[in-house]
Amino acid sequence: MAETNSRMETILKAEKLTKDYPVLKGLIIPKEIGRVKAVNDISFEIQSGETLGVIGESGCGKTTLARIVMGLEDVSSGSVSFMGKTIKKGMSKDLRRHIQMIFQDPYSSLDPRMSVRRILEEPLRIHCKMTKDERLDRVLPLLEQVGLPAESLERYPHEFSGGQRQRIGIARALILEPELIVCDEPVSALDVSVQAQILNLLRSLQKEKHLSYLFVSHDMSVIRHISDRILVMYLGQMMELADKRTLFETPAHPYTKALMKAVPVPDPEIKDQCHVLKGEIPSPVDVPSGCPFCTRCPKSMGICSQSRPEVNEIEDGHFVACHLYNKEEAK
Amino acid sequence: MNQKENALLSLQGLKSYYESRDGSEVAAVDGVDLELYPGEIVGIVGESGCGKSTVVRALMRLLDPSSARIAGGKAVFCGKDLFGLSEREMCGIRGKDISMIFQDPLSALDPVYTIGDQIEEILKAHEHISESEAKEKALELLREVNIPSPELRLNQYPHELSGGMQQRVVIAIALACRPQILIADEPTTALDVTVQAQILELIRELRDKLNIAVILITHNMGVVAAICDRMLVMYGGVVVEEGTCKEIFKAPKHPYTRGLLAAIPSIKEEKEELYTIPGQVDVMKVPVACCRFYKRCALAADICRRSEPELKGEGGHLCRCYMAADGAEGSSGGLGFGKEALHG
Repeated sequence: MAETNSRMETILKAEKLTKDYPVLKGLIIPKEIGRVKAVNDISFEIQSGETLGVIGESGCGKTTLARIVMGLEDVSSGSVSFMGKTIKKGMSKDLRRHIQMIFQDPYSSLDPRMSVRRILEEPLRIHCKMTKDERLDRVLPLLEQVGLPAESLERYPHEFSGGQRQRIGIARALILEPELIVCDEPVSALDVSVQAQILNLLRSLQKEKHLSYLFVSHDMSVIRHISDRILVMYLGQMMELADKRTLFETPAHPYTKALMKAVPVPDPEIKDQCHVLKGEIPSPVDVPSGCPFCTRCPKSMGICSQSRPEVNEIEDGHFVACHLYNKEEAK
Repeated sequence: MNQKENALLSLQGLKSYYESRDGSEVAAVDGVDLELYPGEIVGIVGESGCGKSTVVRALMRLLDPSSARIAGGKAVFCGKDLFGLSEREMCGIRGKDISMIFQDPLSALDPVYTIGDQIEEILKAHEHISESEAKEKALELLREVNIPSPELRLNQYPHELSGGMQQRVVIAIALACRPQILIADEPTTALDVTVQAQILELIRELRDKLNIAVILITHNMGVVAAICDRMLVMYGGVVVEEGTCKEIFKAPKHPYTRGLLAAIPSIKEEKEELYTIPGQVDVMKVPVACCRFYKRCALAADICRRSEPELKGEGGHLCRCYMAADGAEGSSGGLGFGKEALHG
């Protein structure tokens, strides 16, 4: 999708993002005993109108990454910028309105004491000087676009089902007409049939409004459906980054391959499903030295536990961090 | 059907109603039949609110009596109707002959007791066994569910283990008294995919080794396809389609099953747009006198509005639909989506 787009330009640029948190011990006088690198040296770009999918298992830092892009967390090192302006915690309102977020849980992300009208008008009150009627003129067509009846305006979140609430959440994110939307697991709390409705809605809105998404999920098939390019993360580090077709047809990193094999497919004819990867994800406090995946990797070599693999571009736009693809050793 | 005598468990017309706030009754489960044979894994799939969890909760007699009741039906296990037993007798069966594992392993385990204590507890409750024997058996069980360094784990507390490890402990507890039936209610929903694969593998392995029957409840079609032999698709408190996994995934008959399969994004292939089932799950107030799915169904005709179809079919592949019965096998004409959408 991104290639066919003539208006392609980089709107978000992240360079060597690193975020670490202190690990504290002791109840009364907490002492720092170490640091967790939730996000470790990650670089990527998002073009206008494209979806970058971020996939990984729990503790891989995908939510932290989303929060950094939203300006809800400051980076420890590295930088992230939107159209050339740096994103940080205290960034200006003018910058913030261009990046909005859709959350995972449609139950806790809407204020139960606000009517839908207030929920949707609140961003306008904060960011725009508008009269009551002007605000309503913005809210009403948007409600229709996300598939909610106009009567919803005066109703409260508890009167809606999970799927409808997620539609309210989407409308709230869209009301300021942002360029980039950060979606943190927006469909994982929903049933399959509702999930399909929301995914279709997100895609049609993207086409209509030329939006860019940073789409975070743990579900491989959802990511495949929605993304143009995909970033695979493991324990805070980037394992692989490629466009969708390349990643699914010729995955390079052993972790990406394992992740794909582990997903059960709705087809009982496929034998040997749930290909089992040994061991569990190590604690992020105690990341293995060298490649973070070396303890579970079926192709682990001596070097893997000693040094961290560099990110290599093995073909155009296909980045892999694995010693198997190291340029010198490739021969 | 001549196998009927060998069925380990047979649910006949199970009904379970919840009281709603306005005093009327809502059918969570409205007439479910299920037969379970040793050594098979039966999947119950459906979306939230379809009654899949209520079926097994009713069967285990774990429903909250203040809001829910068993409104009819029988659950015959080893010649006894479970609904006719006293609470005391039921306690002797629960955890011993029929045991259960839950979605969230951390809330299924008691945070203030060690893993060892919790496994020994169930052994001591159901079997006359000495302290040292119990300890030894607990160790053996931990080995059985492939927990690394089991000696160390015995003295650890639940929070010290990872999610996958906790679920293994829950499975060890469930298997402690060598049950004949294991009920797994969304056992992998809270876990990561790579860990999910390990747990599914473990359940399959234990089934092969111990020849237990497993009822697996899930909303994930992939999980069903990966490990179940037979499956039941539930909607609105009833089974709408039943059969072997092979048959159902190859040629789903009920419009709901077809829609559900078409709505899943695929990891194998590209789908331009996902099929969506319009509307949402309705609350089923009793009595129901129409097809429960007709409001959302693309095939709905007059008859669907007037009476409820029966669950019928040939060769064990049953379907509750007027319109699917005369439809040719595998064809999906008139459904609003083509066959390629179903399998793609």
